[in-house]
Amino acid sequence: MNPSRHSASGSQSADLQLTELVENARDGNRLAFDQLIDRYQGDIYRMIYYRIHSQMDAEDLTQDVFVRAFRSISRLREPKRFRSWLYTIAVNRVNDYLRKKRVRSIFKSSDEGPEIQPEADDQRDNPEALEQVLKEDFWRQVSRIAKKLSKMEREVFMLRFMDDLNIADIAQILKKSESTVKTHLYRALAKFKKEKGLRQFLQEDLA
Amino acid sequence: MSNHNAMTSHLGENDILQAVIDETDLSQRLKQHLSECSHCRLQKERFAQELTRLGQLARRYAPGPQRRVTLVEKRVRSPIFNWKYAVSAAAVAAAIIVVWATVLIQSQQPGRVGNLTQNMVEAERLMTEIDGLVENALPPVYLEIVGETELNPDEEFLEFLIPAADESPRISAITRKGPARC
Repeated sequence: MNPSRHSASGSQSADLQLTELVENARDGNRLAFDQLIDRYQGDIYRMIYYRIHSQMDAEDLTQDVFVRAFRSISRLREPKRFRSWLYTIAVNRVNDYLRKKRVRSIFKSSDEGPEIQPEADDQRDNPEALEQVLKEDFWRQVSRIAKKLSKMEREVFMLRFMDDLNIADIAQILKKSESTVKTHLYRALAKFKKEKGLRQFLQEDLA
Repeated sequence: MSNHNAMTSHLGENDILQAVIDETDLSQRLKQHLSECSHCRLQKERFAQELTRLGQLARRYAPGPQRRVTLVEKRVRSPIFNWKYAVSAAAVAAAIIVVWATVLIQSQQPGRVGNLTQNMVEAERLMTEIDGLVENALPPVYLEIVGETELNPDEEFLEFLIPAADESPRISAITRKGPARC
C-alpha cells in the first residue's frame, strides 16, 4: 500500500467535502456553516492570538470573522478557496484591531503595545511552573523577532511558519504575487537566522 | 568532474534560505548539489526543523478558545436593526430639543413683558418732562423768585407781553391821530 497515494486520496476527499460544505453554506444551510466553524475556528483563533496576544479579544475577533464570512459567503466563487478567504478576513480584522489599538494608545500612556503575558486565569490553572516559564519565554522571543521584521515580512513569516500556510495561499490572502511573498519571506528568514535567542530556544527544544 | 564540483561547492547561507522557502527556485546546479551533499541537506533540514518547531510551539503555547463561535447573537444586530435604533434616538433627541426650546421661550416671555412695561413708563415720564418744559421752561428757582410756582399766564397777559404785530393799539392810535395841529 502506497502511503502517499493514500494521503493524496484522503486530501482529495477532504477537498470534496469542503467544497460540498461551502456550497451548502452558500445556499443558506446553517448546519453546513456550523461544520465549517468546527473545522476552522481553532486555526483562525490561534492565527489571531499570535498577532494580538489577548485571549478575550482573539475570541471576539474570531466570532466577528465567522459572522462576516457567513454574511458574505454567497460572494465566494471558488469553494476551494474558503480557507484562504477566511484568513483574508481574519488578517483584515487583525489589522483593523491593531490600528484602533494604536490610535487608543496615543491617548493612553499606560498602553504599552501588545500583551505578551498570557491570561491570568490560565496562569492560575497551570500547575507546571516550568511550562509556564517556557511559554512566557517563547512568546517574548517571538515578540522580539516580530519587532525586527517589517509589516509584510512579519505577515508572510507568521502565515508561513506559524499558521502553516503554503506560498500560494499566502499570495491569495495578501493579494500579492508568489514571487513577492517569497522575497518578503527570504528577508524575514535572513533576520530570523540572526536572532540567536529564539533559535537557541528552538534548538534546545529540538535536542 | 561536474559531480565533483557540485560536491565541493556547498550551498551558502542565502541558498539554504532559498531552499527552505522553495527548493524549486534554486539553480539546477544547486539543486543537484543539495540532492547529493548530505552536509548541505542537513543544514537545510535543521533550519527547516527549527521553523517547523516554531509553528508547533506557537500552537502548543497559545491558550485555546473558551467559547464556540455562534452566529445567532451577531445576526440580530443587522444594519436595519441599528438603523431603527438610530431613528429612535434621533426622534427622542428632537423631542427633547423641542421641549427644551418651548420651556426656554416660555421662561423668557414674562421678562420681555416686564421690560416693555418699564420702557413705556420711562417714555411717558420723559414725555411729561418735555411737556412741562414746553409749558414753562423756567427752572423752579426762578419761578419762586417770581413768586409763582405755577405760572399759567392767560391770553390777556400774554397779549400784553407780546402784542400781535397787526394789533398794536397804542401805536396805531398815535398814528391815526397824527401830530396835533394847531
